[in-house]
Amino acid sequence: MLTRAIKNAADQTPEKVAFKCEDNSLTFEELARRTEQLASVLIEQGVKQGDRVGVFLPPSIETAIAIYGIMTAGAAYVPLDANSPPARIAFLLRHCEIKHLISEPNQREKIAEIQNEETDLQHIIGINNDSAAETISWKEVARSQTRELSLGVREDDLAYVIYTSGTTGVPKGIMHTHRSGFSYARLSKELYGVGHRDVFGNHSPLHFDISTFGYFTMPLAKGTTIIIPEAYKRFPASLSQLIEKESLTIWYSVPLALTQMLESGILEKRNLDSLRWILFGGEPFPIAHLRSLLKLMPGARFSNVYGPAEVNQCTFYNFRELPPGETSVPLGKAWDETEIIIVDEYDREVETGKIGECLVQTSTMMKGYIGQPELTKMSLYITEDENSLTRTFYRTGDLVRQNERGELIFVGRRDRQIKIRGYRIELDEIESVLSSHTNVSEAAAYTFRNGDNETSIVAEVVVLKGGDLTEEMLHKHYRKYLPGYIKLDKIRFSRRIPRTAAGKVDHNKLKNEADGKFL
Amino acid sequence: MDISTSEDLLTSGLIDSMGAIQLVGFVENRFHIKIPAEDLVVENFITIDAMCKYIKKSQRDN
Repeated sequence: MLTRAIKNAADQTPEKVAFKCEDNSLTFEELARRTEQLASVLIEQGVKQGDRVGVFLPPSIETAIAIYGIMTAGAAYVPLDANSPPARIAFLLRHCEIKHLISEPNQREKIAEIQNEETDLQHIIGINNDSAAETISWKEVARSQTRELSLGVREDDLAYVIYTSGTTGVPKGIMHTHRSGFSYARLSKELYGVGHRDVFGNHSPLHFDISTFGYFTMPLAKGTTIIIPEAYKRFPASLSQLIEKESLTIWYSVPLALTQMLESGILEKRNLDSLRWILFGGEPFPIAHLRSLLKLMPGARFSNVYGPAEVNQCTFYNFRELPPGETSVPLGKAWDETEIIIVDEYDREVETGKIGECLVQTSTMMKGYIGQPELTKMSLYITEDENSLTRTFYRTGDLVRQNERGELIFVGRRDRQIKIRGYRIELDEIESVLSSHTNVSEAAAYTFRNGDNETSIVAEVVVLKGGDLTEEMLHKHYRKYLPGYIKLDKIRFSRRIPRTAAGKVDHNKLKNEADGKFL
Repeated sequence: MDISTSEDLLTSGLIDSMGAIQLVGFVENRFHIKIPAEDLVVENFITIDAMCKYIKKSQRDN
């Protein structure tokens, strides 16, 4: 059980620092105590087993108290992105039937805006004012009596719900249980050999599942998580300074945070010897940047982590140097307790080496999408054998193929597969080939409709600082890897590629801006 | 909007990542200084007070 890890660590290594954020820190003993206090307050306020409680906090040590307090009360935590518009946050609160919110005084104005929308909020913890809901400050929580917490939290009780944007416009609330969350903590602890001496730099906000490494895996390993404040993410030189100052041993983030450090983080001036693992995931890492990073951190091992939030992680590719002959870093092989099959559009397994959709069966699998049983059903593929043994796979929507070493290679998103003149083309594959050019910093491929209403392919390319690149050079590189029918209609050199809040390339924005522009 | 000179501009979300780049550009142009990469850190930009202190020091050093 996820909550058990905190109790165990508090018993065995009470003085050890569990979480630290700037000058604030919590030992495991303090964390256990404050967790129980918060759980008691929540139960006092009427939180029942299976309820959802919102977490509306910037990166701070309170985030750790909040999520463990909520889970100890038998409820599931729902992280809310403070940068979302109030109407969207209010929608999520209603969608998840949230009555209790955990926050802090600086969020007062934003909470007031959210309360101007329709919500069922009854209690807010962490602020102290006359709001439409009842409030209680963190100080009061820390003074409160702990009640007997005899709740039997069950393995398949909800532990947390993470929202991602849905293609239909309705956000999808991915439900994870104590079983799936704990499986992730256990498997990642084993795979990366995480121990009590490890210090983890938590860059990811709570609403991205990358944060489960810092919040679940590290406490299980009795290690320390350094929660990186928002402000540091604006200044890459501060991030690299923090790596040195806190002697981080493990880093895990989206590639963007690492490429920003490469570009303006003066990594060459920092002592990065403490780092033994660099994990990245969420999207492909541009090869040119990765090469530079490998040079700067010769002592570290790298891991390409793959897995949609529905399964958290399902494959890994660990490396010290780049594999020869690939234009992208392989997704690697399935980790423990996981099976992957690759199927065609009729759900038949493809021949080895052929492209198909990646389906995953794993112990870290979600329970489903909250309040959307139909959507859950559509996302799953269930097989039954002659002994009526059923197995449930999650349809990732990712197209992959296996290379000769049995490693999975990411080809593209299924919904980024287009058809032009009858040919199936993967926009993500084009992106990956362009990004593999030595002088390309990053690239994005998307389609637009020209004046004759034909679909054309455009590539937006950012040239590596100090690199020399012409359209002709890029076309030549492109032709080396892709067949003639995959025609690149236009290359646009630009200074920056728009990103979503998650730090991924914002293809929709690119497409919307392009549509109707170069007619 | 009123901002106090000791208010944390970064953590409070008043300045997002694009804003941080613009802010640095503004400070460089307005005060005719060139900020080296190692000085582009949180503590020099976290509040208006911190920025004033940094700018003064930077002008004195040049």
